[in-house]
Amino acid sequence: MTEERNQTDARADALVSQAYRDFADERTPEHLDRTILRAAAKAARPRYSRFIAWTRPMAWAATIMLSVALVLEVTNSPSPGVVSVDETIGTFEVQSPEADAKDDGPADSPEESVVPASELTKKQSSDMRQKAAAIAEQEIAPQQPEARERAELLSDAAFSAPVTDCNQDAVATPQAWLECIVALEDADRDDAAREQRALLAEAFPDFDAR
Amino acid sequence: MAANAQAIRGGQLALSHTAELAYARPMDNVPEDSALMLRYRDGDVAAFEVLYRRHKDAVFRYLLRLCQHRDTAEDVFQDVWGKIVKARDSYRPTAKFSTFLYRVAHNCFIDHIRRNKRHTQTAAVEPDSQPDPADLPEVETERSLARRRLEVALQELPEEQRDVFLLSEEAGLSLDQIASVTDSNRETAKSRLRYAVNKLRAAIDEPVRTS
Repeated sequence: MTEERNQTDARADALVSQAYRDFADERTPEHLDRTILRAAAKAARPRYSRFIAWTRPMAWAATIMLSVALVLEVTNSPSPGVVSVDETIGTFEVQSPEADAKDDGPADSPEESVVPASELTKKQSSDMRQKAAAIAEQEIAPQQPEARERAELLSDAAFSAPVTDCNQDAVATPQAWLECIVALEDADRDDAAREQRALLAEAFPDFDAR
Repeated sequence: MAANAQAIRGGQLALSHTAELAYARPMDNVPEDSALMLRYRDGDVAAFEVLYRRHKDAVFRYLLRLCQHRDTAEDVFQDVWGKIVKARDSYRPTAKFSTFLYRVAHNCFIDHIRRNKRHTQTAAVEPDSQPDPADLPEVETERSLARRRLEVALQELPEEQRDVFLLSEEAGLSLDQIASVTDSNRETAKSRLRYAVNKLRAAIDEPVRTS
């Protein structure tokens, strides 16, 4: 009985359904389609698309600029451990032991503590050579043995030059030249002192160099 | 007898129409609605277009019959799809997509009624299509008469019964899904559908009885 009723209901549903579909044929207006699809496309666009579009070229530009700046910096800067001979020979000045002692207190006049290299004693120049070697060893990385070797050679040259010869300042006046020669003699560099004395006599024949 | 012949002819017509129906069961090679929605969530606008074209006419008819006013139906229709678009990020395929879609449509319609007093029972779907016995041509067939009677009967149905009938017809939802969409239980949905169908059937059969 229930089955029969269900079958009847089902038949009725189909009839009503067919009749409904027969007249329900409205379609969505095209302007609504366009509006909704446009809105959907707009909403699907990434929110930060403009920013993201700029990010990649900006990153490339920044990377290239940094790389170029780094290369230029490396190219223009002197290699570590290389000391210019011109800067050292003849013009090298160091602090005297007296000046070292004053280092703890305030220095009134920095010029007073500077002593010409020509006046260095043998012991002082030896100390300075050791200090320079120590600095070279500290500052130059151990993985750069060539640079360290070069620095050591140059430091030797720099510290031996003032004792061997008299620089331009020292030979400017006969008195200064004589003082330089005396300093050489004091440093037991008799040969160099003799050579300088001969040069002094040649340059200033009227000056009494004895 | 004439009604049966009409039903057969109507059935043939309905068969060809069914193939185009939005709620027609998708074939194996056609992507599921949920898959399309997930693709749209990932930025595939073409997937949304497929989904929209699959459901738009049925949703529009559902709202048109519920609102009984074309402009109102268009407003609500736009609102519904706007909400679907907005919900793409939070969409989870936990239920059938059509259930989700018609739940949104149902809620939009309810909101619209509460918000806008424009919706009245007296407003017609299409005033031009209202049957006026004085204007009816003599040659009008029994079938078109039945269609007009069904249309009028559908408009005269209580809102809840019309809603349930339309969800069954346009969305192809089961009783459980209809209950879920309308926030009612299965028995209530079943009862409303039965009342609606009986009234509509009576409206269709009326000319047969009178003849």
